[in-house]
Amino acid sequence: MTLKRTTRAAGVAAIVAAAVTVGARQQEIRITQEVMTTNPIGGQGPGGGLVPIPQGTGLILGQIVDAGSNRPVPGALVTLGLPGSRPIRALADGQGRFVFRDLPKGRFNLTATKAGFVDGAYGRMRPSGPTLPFELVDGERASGVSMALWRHAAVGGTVLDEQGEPIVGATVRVLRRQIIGGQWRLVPGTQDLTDDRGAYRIGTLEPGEYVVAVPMGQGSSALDGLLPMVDGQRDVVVSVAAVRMGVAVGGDSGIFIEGMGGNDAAGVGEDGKPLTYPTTFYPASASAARATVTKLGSGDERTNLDFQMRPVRALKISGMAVGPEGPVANLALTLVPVEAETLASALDTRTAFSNAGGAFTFPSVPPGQYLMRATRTPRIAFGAGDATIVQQGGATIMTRTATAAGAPPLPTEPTLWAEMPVSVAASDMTDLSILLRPGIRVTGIVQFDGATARPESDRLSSIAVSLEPADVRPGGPGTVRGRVEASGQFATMGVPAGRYFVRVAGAPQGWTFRGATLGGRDVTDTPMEIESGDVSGITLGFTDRPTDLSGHVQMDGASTDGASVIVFPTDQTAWVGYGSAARRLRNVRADKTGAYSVSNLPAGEYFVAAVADKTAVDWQNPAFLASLTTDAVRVRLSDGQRATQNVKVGR
Amino acid sequence: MKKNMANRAIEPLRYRAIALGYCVIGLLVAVPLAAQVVHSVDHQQRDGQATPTGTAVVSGVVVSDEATPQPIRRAQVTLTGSDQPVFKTTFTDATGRFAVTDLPAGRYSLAATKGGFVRAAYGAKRHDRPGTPVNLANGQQMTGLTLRMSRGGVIAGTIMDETGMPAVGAQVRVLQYRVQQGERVLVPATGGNPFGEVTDDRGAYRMYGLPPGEYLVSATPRNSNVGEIRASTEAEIRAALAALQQPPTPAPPAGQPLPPPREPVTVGFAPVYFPGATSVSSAASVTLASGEERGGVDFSLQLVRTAKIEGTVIVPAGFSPQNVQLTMAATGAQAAPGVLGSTFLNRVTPAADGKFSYAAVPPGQYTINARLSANAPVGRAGGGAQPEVFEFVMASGGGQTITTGPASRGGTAYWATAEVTADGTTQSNVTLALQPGMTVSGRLEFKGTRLAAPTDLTRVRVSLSPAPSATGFNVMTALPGAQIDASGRFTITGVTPGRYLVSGSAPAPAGGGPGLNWTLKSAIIKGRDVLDYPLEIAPNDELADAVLTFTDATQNVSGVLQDASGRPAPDYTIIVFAADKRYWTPQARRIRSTRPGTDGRFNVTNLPPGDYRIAAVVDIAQGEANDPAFLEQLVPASYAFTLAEGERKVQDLRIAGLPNRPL
Repeated sequence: MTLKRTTRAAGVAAIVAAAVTVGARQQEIRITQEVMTTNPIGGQGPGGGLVPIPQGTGLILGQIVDAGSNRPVPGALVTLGLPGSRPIRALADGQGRFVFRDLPKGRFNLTATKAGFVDGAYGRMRPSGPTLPFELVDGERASGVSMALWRHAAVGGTVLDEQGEPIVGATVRVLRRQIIGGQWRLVPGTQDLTDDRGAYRIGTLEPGEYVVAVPMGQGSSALDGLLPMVDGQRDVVVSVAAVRMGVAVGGDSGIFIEGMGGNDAAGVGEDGKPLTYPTTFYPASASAARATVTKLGSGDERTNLDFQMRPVRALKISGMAVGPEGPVANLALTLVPVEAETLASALDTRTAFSNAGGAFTFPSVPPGQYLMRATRTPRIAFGAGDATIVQQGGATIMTRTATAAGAPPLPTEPTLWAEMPVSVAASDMTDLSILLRPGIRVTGIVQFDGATARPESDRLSSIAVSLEPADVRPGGPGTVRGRVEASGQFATMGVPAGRYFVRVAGAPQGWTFRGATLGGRDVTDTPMEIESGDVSGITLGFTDRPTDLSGHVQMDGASTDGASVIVFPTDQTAWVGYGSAARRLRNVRADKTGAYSVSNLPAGEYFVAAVADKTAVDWQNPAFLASLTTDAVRVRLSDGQRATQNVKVGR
Repeated sequence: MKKNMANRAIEPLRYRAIALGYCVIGLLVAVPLAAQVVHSVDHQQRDGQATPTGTAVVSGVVVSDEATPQPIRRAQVTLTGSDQPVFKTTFTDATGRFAVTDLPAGRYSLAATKGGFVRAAYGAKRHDRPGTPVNLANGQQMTGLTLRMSRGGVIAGTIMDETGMPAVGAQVRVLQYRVQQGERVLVPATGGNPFGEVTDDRGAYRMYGLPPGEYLVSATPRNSNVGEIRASTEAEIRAALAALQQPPTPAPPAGQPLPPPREPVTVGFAPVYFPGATSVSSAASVTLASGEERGGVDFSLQLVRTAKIEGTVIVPAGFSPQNVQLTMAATGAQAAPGVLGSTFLNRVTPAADGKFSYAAVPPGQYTINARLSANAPVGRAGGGAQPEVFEFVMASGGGQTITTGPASRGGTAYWATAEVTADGTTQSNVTLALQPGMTVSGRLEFKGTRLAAPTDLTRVRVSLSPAPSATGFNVMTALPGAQIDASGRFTITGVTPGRYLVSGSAPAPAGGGPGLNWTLKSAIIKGRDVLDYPLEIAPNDELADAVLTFTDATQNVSGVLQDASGRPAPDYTIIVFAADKRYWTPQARRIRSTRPGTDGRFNVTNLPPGDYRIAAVVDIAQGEANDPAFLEQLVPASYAFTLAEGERKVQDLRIAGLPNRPL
């Protein structure tokens, strides 16, 4: 089963429904999700669509080059965007040259992609580094605009079984070592399936540090994405998806798959019991912490990362899922190795589905320590949308799209969740009982401080408020959304107990999100603990005077070309544990005149440092930040202040 | 032979010759044994779902199909119940042996799979033929079964982009021709990954596990769906360099218009077929022998000139053009019928003034369909989100039906269709004037042998659904069901042109007993039974006076196929077909084929009453049973029988011998 999303760039919320029914058990199924976006605040022309870029007399002539060799890259796709307008695309010629003409003045986004390379952008000095807007004045003809692309790196090898035979169709996945929230994490990335020779190759890697793994079980990421989105047909989708993934559905639900399935199947042992391959990190470790880290530069190739898999006993874990109102049917349960908690997301979780009577079975689980998790997110009510039905063979794929002015209303049913440690030792486990509890809801109000007119009440639902878990929780519900009502009150869907950040994306026109507070304490950059019982009294503060910092980068007697500025709190404890959104840690490029600006910083005391951007790989690493403090300038920002601070490039 | 098969649809004469050859080799004369006629209700109907378990055992060995068969280790063996929900799977050991235990009595299909090998069904004549059903009695120990697997073939190569660099991330598919619904269509190859493969950073791909056959290879570039792309032509670059020498010219003050800009040359990436064709008709095929590894199937992607297609929709008074659904699809030679992914398909929403525009259309012929539902919300202007890219993906199998329309209940639908040709230049005068849909109406009749007609006829459901078609596709508004009044008159409004199937259901009365149900017996519209021939609805058709007849009677024919010495003969295929040639259509409900089980038993259910012939053949290709030329050859070697209404015919057959065996 494959999941495909077509996403549009602009917009606030996404609503999707996809459903699948099949006539035959063995049908191949593919689900296409059409992600529709709602009309952003303020609108962007008739029908919520984007307008063409206005006509002018400006011109941009440029070239795409290989960052390593500085030679031209032919045939790159160059995209020019202007906020609020439909981007235009040009295909670079055989010498990497491209032209955009008839342009108005403006601050453009300029990016370039070419298969085989890491994307480039104007002002970008390193893969995924910060970019600069391209400023064009009225009638300007800009030439010599160069953008660099970085060649991908590749890993490859073979996966053999214990007898040296190739394992065909095994999943091989890379994990990238990255700083997330101030800490090193292994972030699961691209995967490949071994071919008939057992060979794999992953050749679209950004330069960086990687661990390669052959994960056990079925990669459940596709299903994870699907489950919360599917409306009424979820039950069907769950059973169909389960069958496709080779997973057992309950015990007597009509279809039962005995024994094994998926690419981890390792046949049966001497005693006739099923065997399975446990997750193996290159070269032969069961733990990510002891895996070999492979460092790859742009264009590097390591093709000898071979695996020899060793089977272990596979045990059967079964039981019942019970909620406040009895057995919970068609529930996706995940079994997460405790070790996976150090990874940024689930790598080797196993998924099972409860049947109509709430019974579930994980058919083949290697011995080890696990957490069993389950979340039942209530269905989202969709408005009447357009349905598209494609019938083919025995499969019917229905895509339903719905549109709304803002976030859809919250369901009234509670979210149910459960978490339970499971220790799998030497024998099958039956009669497990997993108890689901109602999730905890968070409520509060929005508050607008400023002279600007308060937004219309019907615009408030466009403010996307969400709860982001502060701790890595594979198999958990992830970030859950909320909704702001016209009254200015907001509520979120229920969440399991834990630590959470209150996040807001999208603010009404003329307003900026300042932060969420609970009893005067910030809960946007530092998490709040939710234990039991609903949390009320959160304030989402908006201001019409964002706190900004700008200035110039200076360098004695040298060009400031390629410089960037890093702004970070002087309080070292704020360098870690801020979740996925680093509001108080920022990295921006200085333009060709050395000017930089950082907008919407929370009030507080900061260090400001200037560096050559090429050296700022993993700049959120606390060790790197510490090294910047000696040459950095301290600046204290109060709410609504527009501060200016020049800074010299450190040595 | 294989080559000829692939060319069948375009060389009918040769095809006939092949079919004849096939028959002479494959046909056996079946003679009737004692025919019994049983008029009774089937008492074996199981309503209560018992736990599917038992004590029967199936065991055997999986070996390679080489001259000296080698055991195949760790093959996955799957046993699937065809009349009960049993699905069991196990793996072979180092000596290729397997055993599936605790099975209830019943009919099963048995198959083995292993990565890199072609799926093997037990008793199948070829990889693409159905296997022999395993019929298990209570507690039966069926041992010593042998499944032979062949190693799959490999097609591998490198795709380069239009600049001569490796085409990274291109979607590669291996396709083959199949006959579906009587039409020759391209479908993804069985084996390997039916969704194809994505080229790696060297542009390399490798499709494995392929059965022997003739294949086409296609590649779709990564950037195939990004919309309009402007080419950086030499003229553009030169003009830009020249402009750089001039002093800047700011835009004229407000009120003074700028000169209209030159139209840029726009390009796109269309799917390419080996060895480099942009249309499937000029693709070259790759013939793969069993287990053959074919490397070097290399080709390059190409840029094509794309066009903008613009036009206007005209809607009836009171409707907003923004609620019109426009769907455009390739219908010309550049489309590969049956392969969804190859069909350029796009949906746009017209503006408030009715204007619409398709950008970046590759060269070729297209059909634009406009559909409007009568109850489409009016005045949603400004709030509608537009899908920027509407991409369909490929699923296995041919025939596609794309139904668009509001998910809510229907009403009178309006429709319009336009044919357009894209040739690299802008076309801006396409007009789609929407007109009302057609109406189908008539009455219901109930002819029960044991059941009384339902008292509340408004609970009867009658609906139209798009007829499956292997080539091309249907685009139609989601159809409402029929409105039915208390007297049994039904009306379906808002039907757009196309081919339809009619279906109907009526509630069975409580206490009617198991197996007693109303089914649609016939649907006579304009003198034809549309259960036998799809209903063609053309513009301006008004189809009144339809008669839909429901019955509670069902018919079947069952029996045992034996060889000359009276033993079960599972190695043949039974074909049951209507005696009347007018029923020999691609999707006929009166033509059926089945494989007898290991005990020689067969059962063909749900046949309409009528005159039939029954025959046994050694082997039959997919779709062949619906080929009139094939059936014609079968007539002399077949046995005629009649199924009366409600009849359960038992017809045992014995293989008499091979007539004129030429080989």
